[in-house]
Amino acid sequence: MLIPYNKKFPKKGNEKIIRGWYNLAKEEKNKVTKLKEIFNPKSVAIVGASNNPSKWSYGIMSNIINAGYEGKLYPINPKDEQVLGLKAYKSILDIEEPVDMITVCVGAELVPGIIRQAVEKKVKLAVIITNGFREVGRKDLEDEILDAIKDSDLRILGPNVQGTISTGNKLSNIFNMDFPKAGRIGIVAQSGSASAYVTERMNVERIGISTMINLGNQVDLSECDFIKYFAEEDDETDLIAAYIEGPKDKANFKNVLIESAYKKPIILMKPGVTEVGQKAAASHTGSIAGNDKIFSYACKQYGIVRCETVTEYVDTIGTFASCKIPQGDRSLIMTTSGGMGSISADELVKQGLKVAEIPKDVVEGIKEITGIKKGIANIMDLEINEENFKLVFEAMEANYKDYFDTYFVVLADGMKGMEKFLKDMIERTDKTVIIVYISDSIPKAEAVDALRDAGRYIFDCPDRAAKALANMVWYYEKKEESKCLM
Amino acid sequence: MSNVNMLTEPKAVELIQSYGIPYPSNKFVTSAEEAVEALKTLKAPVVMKIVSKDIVHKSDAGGVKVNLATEEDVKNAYQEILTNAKKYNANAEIEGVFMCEMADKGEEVIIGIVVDDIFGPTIMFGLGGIFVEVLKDVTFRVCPINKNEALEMMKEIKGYKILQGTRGQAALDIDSLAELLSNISKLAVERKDISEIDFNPVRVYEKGVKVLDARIICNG
Repeated sequence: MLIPYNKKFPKKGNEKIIRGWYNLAKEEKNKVTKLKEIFNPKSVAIVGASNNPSKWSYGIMSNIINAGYEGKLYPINPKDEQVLGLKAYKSILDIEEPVDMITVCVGAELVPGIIRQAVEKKVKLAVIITNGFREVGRKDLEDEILDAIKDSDLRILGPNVQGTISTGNKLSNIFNMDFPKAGRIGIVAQSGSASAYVTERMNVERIGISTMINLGNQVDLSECDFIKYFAEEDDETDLIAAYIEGPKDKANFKNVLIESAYKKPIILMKPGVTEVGQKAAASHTGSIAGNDKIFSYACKQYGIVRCETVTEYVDTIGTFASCKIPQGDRSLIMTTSGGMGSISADELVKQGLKVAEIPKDVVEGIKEITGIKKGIANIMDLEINEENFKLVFEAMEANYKDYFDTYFVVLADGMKGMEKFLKDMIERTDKTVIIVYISDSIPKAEAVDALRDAGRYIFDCPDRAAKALANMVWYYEKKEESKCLM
Repeated sequence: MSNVNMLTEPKAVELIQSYGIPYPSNKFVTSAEEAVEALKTLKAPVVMKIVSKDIVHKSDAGGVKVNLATEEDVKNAYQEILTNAKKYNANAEIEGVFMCEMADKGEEVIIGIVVDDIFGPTIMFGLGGIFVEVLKDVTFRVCPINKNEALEMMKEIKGYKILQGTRGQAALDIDSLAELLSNISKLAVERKDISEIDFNPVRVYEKGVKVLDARIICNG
């Protein structure tokens, strides 16, 4: 996290402040703002479909078919009779049945015409994959598109979009990605690769996603639309991962962030080093303040988890997606190695978290119950002994749950079959469980495999784990604080 | 610093006093006689500052006279200030002179407002002198903030211990400072015509706080 947070928030008084003061003047869009419907299309047309494997549209269509989309799929190709085994049409206007969504892969010059057809056909959403618009100086084409949809209900994603994925309806509207596992993460990114990277990493970790959106040039739908959609409308999403370069919809961004972050966690990444267009400051204050600095403080103020690095970003998303909500900041370290245990303790403290304090009488109590003579302390040094881990776990669960909030398990050595105990632990306890498996061994690989199948994000080292855990503790503490102020 | 849309000190002070922001007792005068008259209501010593939209760096222009206690001091100071001002900028439109009681010495902080294009009015806080100037030991919050948030905000600066009392110095009135930050943040949110504010310095005492200079820039 960018700013180390100060946790001693005085929970004083009944000050009702937050909600009422955050209303900026907004212009009501005269458009369909409910996106839920348009993201569950019952029919999709691929405009620019092709039997040529080197074309993007070929990849997109194959992916849609292979992922098992259950709706109707129409290839639009003026020359071929059929594409990839499906009947092809010369234009969407030739299709008798309704078409909910189109994916546009034809050349930029042709796109405005396609959009006009889409308006006529009463299409609800057009995802424009094609590039070659404002980014190469052809803003005029974008203006034409906007003009075409002016008085209709058609919404545009893009242009210049890498693609979209929704696991709910098995729609893989993208040419170059393995279809991910279904899960609860909603990803929205201004950069195609940013959205792809997170999706791919979550794939490797076998943590599912609900929807992945790449925004493209945002001629119509913006980051605000999707953050809001994920937070308010999308029942399939519990966690929002956003990559924003500079919000397109500046007027609404603040309010959307604040209200959405309160509903569902937003894990955000934003580049900030190059301060483009910082206006010459007239005052002392103005010359010290910077857009990105203020952005960081605002995220901290409103409970948005802004990550500094890609590593932290992915770790944090994985942790939020797979761990139970931490009820506090105290970690009980259970480790095979005293050394790694100490390092882990350091890392936790560095991140503003606490190592659980186990009083003397509790230590004695645990020793008595488990029969373990040594290693029982604030950091549980349990040696390479699965039985020790089991015994301590049972003892803590049965008698001493008040002393900690998170099990911080640090396995510095390969322990064959340990995954069985870990899975059991995760399932049975209501505490948060963080697993750090440091060794590079076959038992570790087997454990990681099994735990990933169980939807669990695993760490290679305590520093990354501590940071991700700290982010999660911070967010839920912040949420609790906000409740006090309402 | 741009002077085009900066409020003159009397106008700025009028604005902030309406938000309960403490400023030394003051009087705006337009003649030496008025200045002498004003001395009766203000507690000596006083400081006198030139009031002109066209003169931003008042000290540089010789437009600031301090430690004035007698009628003679005040009368002379008035003349000198006007003379200096005319020498500095012959075309300056001079409205008069602002007289303020001089404040006791104390720890100084800087509070500022800047309007971010995404988050709107944002408040900045830092200890005065090198802490802000050199070390950039400052912290920000998006407005408005309440007292609790202001307290949190102040604790973030590296030099916070100085406010708590250190090196033989007693603890300072952090509570009043928090209230001041909160009031300023409310001002910033309500006055949408303001684009930047510098309160530098703000003096903090064991009891109470006082803003000694206010630069308020309005939108063009």
